[in-house]
Order: sequence, then structure tokens, then C-alpha cells
Amino acid sequence: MRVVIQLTGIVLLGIWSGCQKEDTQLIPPVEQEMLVRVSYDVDGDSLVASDIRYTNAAGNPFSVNRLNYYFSHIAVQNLDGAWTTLEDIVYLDAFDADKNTFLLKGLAAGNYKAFRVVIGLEPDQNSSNSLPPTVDNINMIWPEPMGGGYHFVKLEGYFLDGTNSNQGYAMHIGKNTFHSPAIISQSFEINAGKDTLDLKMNIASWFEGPNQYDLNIQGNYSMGKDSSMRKLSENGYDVFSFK
Amino acid sequence: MTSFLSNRTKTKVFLGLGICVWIIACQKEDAVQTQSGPTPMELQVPPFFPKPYLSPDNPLTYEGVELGQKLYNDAILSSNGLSCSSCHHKDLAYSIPLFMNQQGEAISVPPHVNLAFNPDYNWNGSQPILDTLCMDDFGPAFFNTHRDSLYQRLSTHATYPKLFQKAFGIEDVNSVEYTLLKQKICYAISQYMRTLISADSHFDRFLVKKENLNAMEIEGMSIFFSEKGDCFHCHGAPLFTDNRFHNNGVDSVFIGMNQGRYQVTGNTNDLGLFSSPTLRNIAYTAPYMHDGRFKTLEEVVEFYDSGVRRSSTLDPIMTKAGKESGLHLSDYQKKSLVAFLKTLSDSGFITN
Repeated sequence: MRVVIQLTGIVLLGIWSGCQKEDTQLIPPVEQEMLVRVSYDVDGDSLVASDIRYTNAAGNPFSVNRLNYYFSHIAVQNLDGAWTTLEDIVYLDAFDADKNTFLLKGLAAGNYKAFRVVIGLEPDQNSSNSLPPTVDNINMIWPEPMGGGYHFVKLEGYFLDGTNSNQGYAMHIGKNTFHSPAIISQSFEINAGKDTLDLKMNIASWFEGPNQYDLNIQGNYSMGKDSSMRKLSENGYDVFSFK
Repeated sequence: MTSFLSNRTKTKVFLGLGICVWIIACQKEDAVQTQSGPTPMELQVPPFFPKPYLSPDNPLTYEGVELGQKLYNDAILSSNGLSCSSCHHKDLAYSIPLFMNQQGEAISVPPHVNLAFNPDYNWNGSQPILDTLCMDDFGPAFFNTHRDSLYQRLSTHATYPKLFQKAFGIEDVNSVEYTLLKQKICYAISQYMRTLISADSHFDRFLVKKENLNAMEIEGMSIFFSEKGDCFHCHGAPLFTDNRFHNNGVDSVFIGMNQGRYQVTGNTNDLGLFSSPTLRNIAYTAPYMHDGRFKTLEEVVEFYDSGVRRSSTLDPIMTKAGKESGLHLSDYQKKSLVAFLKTLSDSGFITN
């Protein structure tokens, strides 16, 4: 009888400890959807389409007529320094209100140290027809004879050249290795009461830091020019800040 | 125990019967629904195409498409013998060479190719919705439709009353208010137009290794899809249009319909901008540009090679340093580009 009681005790203890362990494993972190909103300015001046009202660091008066780009490898840095990276690939259009917000799912509520995105696509994602054939994606295709994959950024407009003549410019970035990791090293919180993250792109930053980009010198057309695309992609690292 | 099993068996039997009754009831209900309404149609979209723009107000049905196809090809809508197909010949990819508007301006008639994927219609994008695109066609410029005559002809026709009933549940067209009747006609025609999908050209067959391109076509393809020709930015695959508005430099002074998108928005930044047309079946749809000023593809390529006119709204893509006035291609390259454009012809689209 004593043996039976002992065995029963061991079994119950085993069940209890098993349940304890299971409970610990089953408690998931509280997930919080996060709405990301992106807005734009040019050195603090609000974005107005097709108006040569801005001046870049090189002194080129310029307008912005089109700005399309991708976000990928969206990541948040936990307080312990580890990064949580999401698989979302998001297409954005500065002049389409419907394409400047997106919802991120799967993040745990809590405090974070930093926010990071890749502007464009990393090589493992950037191959011909790797994205679904949406209207937006097919208009971002980077032709196969030029390397395949997708445009990472299309920034277009007009500028006044050295003779004060109106010229167009098309800053297109694509091709593997010319994606831009952009980091905002500033803490933020995600919880039920704070579920929106407001990002702001300073478009002027594409033309400066670390590389001053003079449209009269570097040229008004970047596609197919690796040196131009490299300069622009390097400038992308600090185009975003929290609003 | 025996009694318990017996009850369980009974329960199973009753449950089974219940499920059978439910299934039969549901099937009967489905059958009734099918008999009373039009049959939904799923548009057959090539896997490499984007999703089509479909209207929840005008869902695609087999009966709607059937009615639309008949109306599209029938002069019953007009008082002047015209039908949609008068200006949209199937053998010309549902186009015709030119149409003269009431202002005496020549307009190159946009072909009805892959319209299901367009966000707007007409050269200047004046019509944002396909379902009501033809509402203006009843006016004097096109059909000059006589209201009473239209009612009389449709209601006494041998087949239309039944087709309207099947497509839209209209028991008597005479009981439908005139604007609503025109809307239903346009709904049916737009359903039919959405089915006009072209995706089986020589080039498409080349991509899936069913056919080969010759050396000249390959050369043209590489010009088209590279900075040399830079055609792809506005006419990229698979639709061969980006469905956006551009000033491609055909004019530097903008008068009348040459003002393009400006006529819709009133924004001076839109002067001379036109919707990029699809280049699919382009060999069938001469003449070219919004006013049909170029009679041949050779003339079009020559224009892009040396005839581009600068203005403040010339598309930024076309202002690349060194190519301000054109592409500067060799004769062979120009011929190759034309040869490639001809590979975008889908002969099955205009014959089947």
C-alpha cells in the first residue's frame, strides 16, 4: 500500500511538473499589430508634387514628381539588442495616400531600441518575377537584360541646370547590392495604446550624406550607372526618422 | 451496455439522416439560386498578369458577357447603323485607324485589348470606370440613339428580351428607366470587353519556349528592355503599358486635344500627358499616337530616335543626358526594334 501511495505520488508530481513546464511554454508573448504611416518632406518643407521649389545640398533647384520604392526586412531591435525581422515586402508611393500605410503583424508588445528597414530588396528576394504580378510590382520590374529583379527606388522630377534650363531627372536604384539599409536608432513602444509608428522621409537626404549628389555632375539619370546608384543607395541610410 | 450501444447507433443514424437532409436542402437551394440568377464567371487571367479591375456593382456573369458580346456587334443601339464594332474591328485588335471627333480632330481609336487591367480609359484618362465607359456613346457623336426607337427595337427583338432577363433579371425592357437601361447595356458590354484578354503573342510563346525569336527580333528585344531604347519604363511586360500618364515629346505646344491629361485635371503639369497605350497587338492598330500622326511603326521608331520635342512637361525618363532629342539608333537597330514590336501580335486574339 505504501508503495502504491509512493508511486501515485511520483506520478502526480510528474504530471504536475509536466503541466508546469507546458504552461510556461504555452504562454505566448502578447502580439500587437502595428500600423506604420509614412510621410514625406524636403528639409522640413512639405511635399508638393511637380513644383521646382526645393534645393538640394549641391544647390540644384528641383521638384519631386514621382517616388516609388520598396520596404523589406523590416525589423525592430529588442532591448537585449536582438533584432526581430518580419518577412513583409511593402510597396510605397509618396503620392498615393493608400500606399503610405501598412500593418505589421507578429510583433510582441513592448519597448524597442531601434527600427530598421531595407529600402529595396536584398539579393535573395531580388530576382525576376519573384514578387506577385501586381500592377505596382510589374511597374517596378528591372529588365532581365539589365540584371533582372525590381527597381528598389524610382525618384523622378525636374531640376534647373547650370543654365537655369528645366531638365528632368530620374534617380532609379535597382540591381543587387544597391539596396539601402535604413536605421532609426531611437527607442519606441508598441502596445494597445500606442500601435502606430510614424515615419518621415526627408527626400533631400537622397542627395546628400555621405555622398553629395549634384545632378549637373553625377548626371540626371542613374539607371545603368553603378557609380550613381551606389552613391544614392549609400545616401539612403538616414532618409527616415520618426515623425 | 447493449442498450447504450443501441442508443449510440440510433444517434448516429439520426445524425446521418440529419446531415443528408441538410445537404439535400442546401443543394436544392443552390439549384434554385442558379436557376433564378445569372451564372458567375471567373475571368481567365494569365498567371503572369496582375489582377483585373472588377466591379462589385457589375459582377461578371456568363449571361452578361453573352448579352454584351451581342450588343457590341449590333447596330440596334444606334440610329445611324453604327455599333461598337464599327470603330473596334476585331481584325484590328478591336480598333480602327482614325475617328474624327465633333471638333474635327482626328483621334487614334484605342484598341480594346486587356481593358480589364486598365485603371482608366481614353487617351487622357477621362473615363475612370469601364462599366460606364460607353454611356456617352449614345449621344450624337457616336450612336445618336433615338430613345423610343431603342425601347421598341429591344423589346420586340427575337432574343434580346430573354437575354436581358437572363443577364439582369429584367422582365420587360420597357419598364426600365432610360438612364438605367443604358447603364445595363454598358454593364453588359463592359463585361464582354473584360473578357478580351490578349496574352498569347509570338513573344509570349518565346518566353515559354514554344517558339523562337530570330536574330533581329532578339536584337530588338534587347533594345526595348534596356537603356538603349528605354521603352520598358512606360511599356513594360507583361501588359506592355504602365497605365500611367506621360508626355513622350510628340508636341511642345499644346492646343486642343493635344493638351492631353490637362483637359481632365486642369493642372498645367499635365499638359501633353497621355495614357501609355499597350503595345500588345501594336502592329494591328496603326496609325499611332493619340492623333494618329504616324502611319507606321517605322515612323514611330524614327520619332523616338530623332524627333522628340522638348517642353517643361517632357517625361523625366526622356531627358537623359546625351539622348535629349532621341535614341540615336543605327538603321539596323531601328529595324530590329520594329521587328520586336511585331512579335507582340497575338494572331489568335483577332481570329478566335
